[in-house]
Amino acid sequence: MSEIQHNTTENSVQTEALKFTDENFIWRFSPSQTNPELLEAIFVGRENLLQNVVEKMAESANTASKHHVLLYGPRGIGKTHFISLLKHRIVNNPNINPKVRIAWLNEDETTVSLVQLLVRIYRSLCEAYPDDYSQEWLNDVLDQTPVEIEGMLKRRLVDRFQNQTLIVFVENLNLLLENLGSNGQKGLRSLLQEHPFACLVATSQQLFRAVTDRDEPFFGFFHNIQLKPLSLEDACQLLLNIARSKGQHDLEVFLQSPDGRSRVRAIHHLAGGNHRIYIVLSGFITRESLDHLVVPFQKMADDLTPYYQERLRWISPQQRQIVELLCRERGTMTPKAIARRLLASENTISSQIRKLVEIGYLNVTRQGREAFYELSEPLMRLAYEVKQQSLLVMLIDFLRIWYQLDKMKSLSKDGLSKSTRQYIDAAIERSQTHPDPRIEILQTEIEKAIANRRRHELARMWHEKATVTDTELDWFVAGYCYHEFDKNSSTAIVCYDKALAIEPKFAYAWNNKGNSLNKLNRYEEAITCLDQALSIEPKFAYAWNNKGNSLNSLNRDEEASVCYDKALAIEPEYAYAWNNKGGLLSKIGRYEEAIVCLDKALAIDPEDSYAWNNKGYSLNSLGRYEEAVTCYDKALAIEPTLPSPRFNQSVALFALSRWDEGFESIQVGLIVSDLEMLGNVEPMFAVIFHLSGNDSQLQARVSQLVDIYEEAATSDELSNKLKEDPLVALGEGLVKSLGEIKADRLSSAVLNSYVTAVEQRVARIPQFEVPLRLFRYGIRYLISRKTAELVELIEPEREILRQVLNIHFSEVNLN
Amino acid sequence: MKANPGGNLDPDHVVGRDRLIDQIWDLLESQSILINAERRIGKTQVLRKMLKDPCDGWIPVFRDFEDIYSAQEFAEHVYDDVQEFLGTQTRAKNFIQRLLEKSETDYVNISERAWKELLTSAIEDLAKTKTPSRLVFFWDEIPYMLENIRQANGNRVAAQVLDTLRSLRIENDERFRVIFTGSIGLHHILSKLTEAGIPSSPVNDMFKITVTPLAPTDAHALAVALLEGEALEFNDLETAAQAIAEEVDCFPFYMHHIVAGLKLEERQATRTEIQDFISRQLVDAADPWELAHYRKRLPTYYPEGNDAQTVTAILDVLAMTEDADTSLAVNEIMNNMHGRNIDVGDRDNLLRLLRLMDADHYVSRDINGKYRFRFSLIRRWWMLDRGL
Repeated sequence: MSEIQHNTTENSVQTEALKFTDENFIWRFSPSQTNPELLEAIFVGRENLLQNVVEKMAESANTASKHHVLLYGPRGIGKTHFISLLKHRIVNNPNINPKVRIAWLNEDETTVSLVQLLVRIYRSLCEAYPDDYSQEWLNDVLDQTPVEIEGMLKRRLVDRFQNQTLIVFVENLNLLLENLGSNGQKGLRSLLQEHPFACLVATSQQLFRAVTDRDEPFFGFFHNIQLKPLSLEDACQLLLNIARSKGQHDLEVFLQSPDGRSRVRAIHHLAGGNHRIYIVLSGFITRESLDHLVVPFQKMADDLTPYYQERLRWISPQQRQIVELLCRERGTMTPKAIARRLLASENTISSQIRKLVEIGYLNVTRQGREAFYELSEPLMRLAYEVKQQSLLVMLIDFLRIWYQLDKMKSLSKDGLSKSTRQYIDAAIERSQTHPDPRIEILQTEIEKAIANRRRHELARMWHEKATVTDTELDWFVAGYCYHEFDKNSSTAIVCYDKALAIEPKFAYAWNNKGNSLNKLNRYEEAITCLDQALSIEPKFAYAWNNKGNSLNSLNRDEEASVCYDKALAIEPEYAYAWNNKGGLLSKIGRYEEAIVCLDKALAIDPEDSYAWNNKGYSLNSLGRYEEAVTCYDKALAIEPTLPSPRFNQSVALFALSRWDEGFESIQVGLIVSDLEMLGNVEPMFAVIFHLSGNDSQLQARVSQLVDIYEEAATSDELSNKLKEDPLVALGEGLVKSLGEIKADRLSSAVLNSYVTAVEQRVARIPQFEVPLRLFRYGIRYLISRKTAELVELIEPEREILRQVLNIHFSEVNLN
Repeated sequence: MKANPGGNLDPDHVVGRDRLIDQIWDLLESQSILINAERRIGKTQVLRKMLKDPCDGWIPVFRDFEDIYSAQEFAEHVYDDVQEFLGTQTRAKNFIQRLLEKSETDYVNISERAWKELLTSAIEDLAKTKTPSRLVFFWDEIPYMLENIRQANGNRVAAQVLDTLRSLRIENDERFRVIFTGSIGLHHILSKLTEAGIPSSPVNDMFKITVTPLAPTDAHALAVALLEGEALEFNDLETAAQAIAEEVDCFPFYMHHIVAGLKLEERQATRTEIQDFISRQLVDAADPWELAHYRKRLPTYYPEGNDAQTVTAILDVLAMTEDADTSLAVNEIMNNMHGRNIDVGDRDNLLRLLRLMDADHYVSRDINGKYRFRFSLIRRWWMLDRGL
């Protein structure tokens, strides 16, 4: 999109109008133009609230009670989407619609008196209900004096609404009331008090004096409802609904996967729960681009730039200068620093800053007497940021890895594969007697695919077969194939649901569905399914194991342990459950007990590479590095391409001062790594920091580690294979290593030497700009233990350090 | 019934005011009434219920005078209402027009004369007509209107409006009644008039009624209706209703708020959740119930000398009693203030302030003459707000 097309909000709307070729277009800046059915389809997170307001309107339509509702929340939070749907529901509700008339006031029209407001309401009624409300009558009335017009309109409305209720939708109520002034407000309130024939459904960006001050006519008049930002879950669901409405099936599946959620989490970290951001983003994402994340983010940024630029036009030139400066700066600023940069007096700047805080443009963090200001919406930076060096783009790249799930330390196994074999056999057997000739053909194809190890075709084929036979067994096996071979847990769940609709007592289907939900990180739902399985078959060891995995993921460790124990009580030779229990104990630091469990798993199945890896991890944590290295060797002897033990082993080798072998292990790990594994970098950094005897060793080792990742990043072969940029992953690990530094035992000189070692090697690497800054500030915090060290960072950066250092800020938000 | 904090309630949904309404109709037989109440306690809902089901022999007319800015506008409204009652088509503006055309004096005097003559003429018309029913005016937000008139036309005109109305009431006792109500106490306007050297007692013929929060049984019934209307989840309806009523002193406005809030937040109506919800409202920096008004308005309500500071100190003393039910005698308050080195002046000054605070609903006096916070909710908020 060219700058010219996008340099005003108005132009953005025109661009939208050009694109509006079918009913599936979602208007980003004018949601009321979007097809209401589509708005319904993508609506998330506020269903109960909407229902609540609909009920209020129903009571207003059917009794003399009249509810007045004010929905407030910042720009883009979804207010117009909400009230558009409200109108749609009212119009389609036979218990409300005949008894109400709706006047939707155009938000852009300025109204400075009660009589003008009444004219607007009446005109809106004429447009919506031309049979009932006559434009001619209004035209005649407009020939009178304003006082007479007001009186005539009041009488007309009161008269017309004897047996109906008028619902007036008002956007930006704050502007309307401000323009009406005290007299207009009092007149409106008096009218509604004397003749309660109308409900006001209004919106505003925040609560304002005219409704919150007891001395104002509209104090306490509205039921004020805050539209809260979308939660991460809501944001995922919104994108999912939009993908569904556009038929983007692969994106839909991806959004339900842990990786898909982690991408949305990264955006949520930066953009918060702003509804409009996700609507705009949805226009740019596909399965692949969301995975990559940076490109759709840049496109979204480009699309939103004119919107933010437009918003800056509404404020005074000096306020705009302040915002521009904060857009360009990397961190927060004090009024003194801003004044110096803008060549203005501190008093003037402070006063303008206060206004910017009041109108929601800036946030403040106080530290002692000093106040540090930053943009309240980080994305506003888009308006003036230099695109080539965009902090936001760097941050999103970093956050993408930051929220990637940690898959390296221990590996868990689910109770699924073995248990399902008997059902596959039963399904094949039953198909031999099925009367439909298509089944025989499909079954032959399936058997050929199995024989030729074309497992990726099985899910589709079995799905087809299940569609014809519609038996619980075929649906079950189709689900299994989707889960196991296609790694498509969402579709697997659809198939399991079909099986369960036919046979609700099908314990294995409940178990497998629970397992698929676990894969999607939907642990609570998984537990519900697994409990169903266990209520049908209490001695179902696999289901106990899987429930243990769900609880383990929710960090409900004691309950998880009980579940593994139950599985093992039923089936003492259940190696997976021993492995998983070992992994759990290792996670909570009970390494000795973990090793006992893992030894049991290995006694049952000495070829279990996961158990060897997990045992190695426990031994490593106990400082038994030699034994740990042996375990990792065994895991790798069984499964040489398993990356996890390679990276884990490097840490043990470093600890044994076998530095060269350790670095080699990382190198090999990167080569054998699958699409996602780039190593668990933070312990590597931590060990290098702790065990390097002097500055030159430290610098050499940090350099060597960076060399390996830099080489991987520049290798065509590896960069084609690797899903992530190795240097971004390394930077993320550097920041996470802050959480592993035992700062209490170290002098500030030693801690500063870490920064120096890292700086001298990575200062010129663009992927390290954000991680290096975070590391630097993180070390400052570890030295002083004062949050004051961090106030120069912007909020999304502070949030990252908050997570890794487990600290809290005493922030005062003047909003 | 849906929770409707702030909106217009269906008169059939107004709970617990039947006894008060019967009392008002009884009193109207003998005199006009001045209703005094804290804002949002539900006085307008009481009038609306009376409007919907008037007592035999009465025809009520409701007017909200918040947006009236001059004596003339006020008189026109009264005139219009009377004419409508009498069924005539004469409009006030025609009358004014005629008056203006006849006059040869300046505009201010004409206006002054006009409003008085119009008002008197309206009531005289009413007196002349022998209809079986009597008219009763429900005039809401009278203090706001008088303040507007005071500012637009001056203290003298505001006082004249009140005096004229008093004379008309007394002269035409058999033909009509009025009920004055308002969000701020009328005494504030009267004291301003007194300060301006126009002392009068223009409402001493009216019976004064204070609308209180609901009686516990009525509050309980309202809570039950709201809980059921919003289909909230609860373990025990009786306990939930009791908690809602008790925790906000049976203040219907806040009861509506609690139920609406629990509904919005999709919470169960248990005592713990209810208490938690209220606590969050009380400490919320955004002050969603605008309770800070009880502190912020002190300099406006008590502008003389150090009165606002002294009232603050009195409220501090009353907030720090053992519990919300403990009252303090005037001497105890006095001693407490002295103990804190706060100059409250002489005993009479303290009594004066306590009487004003009573009129403004901050405090109430028990049968032993001891004082405490009128609403425990406000006491609780005051303690939090003042860090006591």
